[in-house]
Amino acid sequence: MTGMASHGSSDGGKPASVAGRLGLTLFFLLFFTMGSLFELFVVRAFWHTLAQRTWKKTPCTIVSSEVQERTARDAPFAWAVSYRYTHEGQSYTNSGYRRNDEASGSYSDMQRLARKYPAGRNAFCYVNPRNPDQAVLTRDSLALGLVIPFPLIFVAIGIGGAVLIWCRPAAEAETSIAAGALRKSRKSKGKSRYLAPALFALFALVGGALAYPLGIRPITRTIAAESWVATPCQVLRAEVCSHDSDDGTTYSVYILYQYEFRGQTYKSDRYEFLGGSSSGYRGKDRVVEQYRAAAHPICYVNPDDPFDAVLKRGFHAKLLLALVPLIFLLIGVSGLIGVLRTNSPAGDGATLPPLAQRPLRASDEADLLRVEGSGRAVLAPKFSGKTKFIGMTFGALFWNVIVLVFVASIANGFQRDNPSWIGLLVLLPFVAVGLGLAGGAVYQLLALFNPRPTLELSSTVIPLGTAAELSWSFSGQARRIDEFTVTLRGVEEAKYRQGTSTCTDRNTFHETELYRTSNAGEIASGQVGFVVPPDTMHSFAAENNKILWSLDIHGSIKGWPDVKESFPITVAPVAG
Amino acid sequence: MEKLSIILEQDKAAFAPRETIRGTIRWNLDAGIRHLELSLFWYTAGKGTRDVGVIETRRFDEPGAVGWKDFSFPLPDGPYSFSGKLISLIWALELTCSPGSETVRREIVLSPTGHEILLACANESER
Repeated sequence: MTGMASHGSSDGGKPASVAGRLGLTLFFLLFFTMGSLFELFVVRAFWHTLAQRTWKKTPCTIVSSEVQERTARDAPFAWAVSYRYTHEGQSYTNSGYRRNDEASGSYSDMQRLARKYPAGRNAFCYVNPRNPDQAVLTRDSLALGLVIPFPLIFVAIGIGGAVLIWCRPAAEAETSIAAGALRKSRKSKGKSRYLAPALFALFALVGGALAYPLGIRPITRTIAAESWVATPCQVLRAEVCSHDSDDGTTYSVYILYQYEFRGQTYKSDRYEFLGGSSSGYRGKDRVVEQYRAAAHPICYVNPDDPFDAVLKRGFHAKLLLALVPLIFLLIGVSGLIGVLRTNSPAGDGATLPPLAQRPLRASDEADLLRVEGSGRAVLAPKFSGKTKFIGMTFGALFWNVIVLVFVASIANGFQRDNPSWIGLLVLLPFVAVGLGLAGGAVYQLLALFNPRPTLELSSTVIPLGTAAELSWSFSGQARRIDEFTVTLRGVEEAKYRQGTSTCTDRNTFHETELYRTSNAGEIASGQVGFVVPPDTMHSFAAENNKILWSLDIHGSIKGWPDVKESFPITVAPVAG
Repeated sequence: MEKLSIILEQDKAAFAPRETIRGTIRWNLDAGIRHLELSLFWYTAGKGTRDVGVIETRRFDEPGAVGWKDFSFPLPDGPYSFSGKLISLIWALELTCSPGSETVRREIVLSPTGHEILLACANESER
């Protein structure tokens, strides 16, 4: 097995104690138990659904059919139906719409069923031949079968986790470093091939599953409702419904209204297309009061299906929530495409990852260390001004939007004379960080207007102990810079796990100020020669440990963000 | 006699880049050993999670219970053996047998100076 090299990492930490392993095993067993129970439940339900396919399709007559009001908040109306059928010469009466499930939900949906199955109409029901008392008007959907694989993920995590905890050869990994690394490299090749696509597929799956009910449907209905007919209606009931959960109470607008369309009377209780509830009582109470006070408010009726009506149409801020599943879907699909392209043989050459992120081949090592760069090189900064600004702005937005939700909740409590002082105290440090991030974004925005440096090095790679020449020039108003320094810096960087987070420590082992000037002409453009010390370490980049060399420039500007850029360079082993 | 051993020519432990490392491996094991593996590799020690780079591995199938074998590996240009405040990089030869957990490791230095490079601390470590 010559000519190949592998490059891996191991945590090198202590193996988990028996108590720790037992704790983790319990955790994974919980996963296994919950997954298994859910799987049993789903398989059982699917089995019944399949069994329904053997039920006999039988003519029936609808005896009664009406929409009834219920006390349940989430399904305030139910469709009460009874029908008569004959099986093997004997007459039966039943009231089942679906197996173990009465039809309940919004008034519009129930009304639609009542119109589909009016009293006196002949229809079909499905009768259980083994128990003719049992019948339904509609059979359960076989789509339930699609849910069967999902609990198996939890079962697999539970079993896999528990097995891995007890089967991991921790002691051997400590004593045999090279053999352990080779094993790990072979294993991680397989893992990385499947892990990323699986994660992106999960994103796409969740996004896709939620995209229609939460995203596409409300948006398309909002667009379609633009052509619905404006119709005066009469409000029958209007109230703010409260929904209690572990996270507190949320509220929703509930309005039942009646309207006439083409000579027929209809009822609906749809206020807007995006249902659900949220915190904030006052706004919803105002809406309810407005509708209570209105003599004949306008609702919008679908001319193709007059059961379909809505009070509030058009785009509003809440509809932006519909984009969330679409973002999930986009991340999943684009990630999958990216990963599959990277894994495909055709794309391999074009998108090779950095050396440190994949097993080394002998040729890679030679490429990394060979001194080839003799031509001049324009250096690229580690992070451009735009990258810093965008990164800081996104960071500030992300942080502050989350913090704002909590601020609004606490402010709401203060408005309703229910102040949470402890919540306020806990929140203050987060608000301070948010303000700091916002300040950082403003700082980076101002820094975008700084003079921009261009650095050119005499060689793309500098071997230890050899000389190089650096030249620089500024575009923009370089005279604003009062003092300018160039520093050659060598840093060791170590990445390690601490609990669940990854930490990175840095230590500067070499620092030489190559140039310092306050002369405007020399600041605008200049050059400096330097020698990389021969008795130090060359550039080195593994997955967790790195030796990084850079040329750092600093231009101080009074009353304005300084020009501060770091330009990575490659220092090679001694030329030989 | 030790079960596994790595003996370097002239007991030399420091090498320059591109030099060839020569030596002998010896083993005195129970019967039933399927293969021995000799690896030339580097690994990191210190604060960071360990990285390992295996440069070359030689496999000796059906070696018998007792025996010896000469080996030689050409060394690459780097990375050099070094020691800093956070990271140390160590070169080594490692001999393992299968089946079994017997392992022997012999550390060497790869550096143009004949000593590991010591990295000074220009300022305090930042986090």
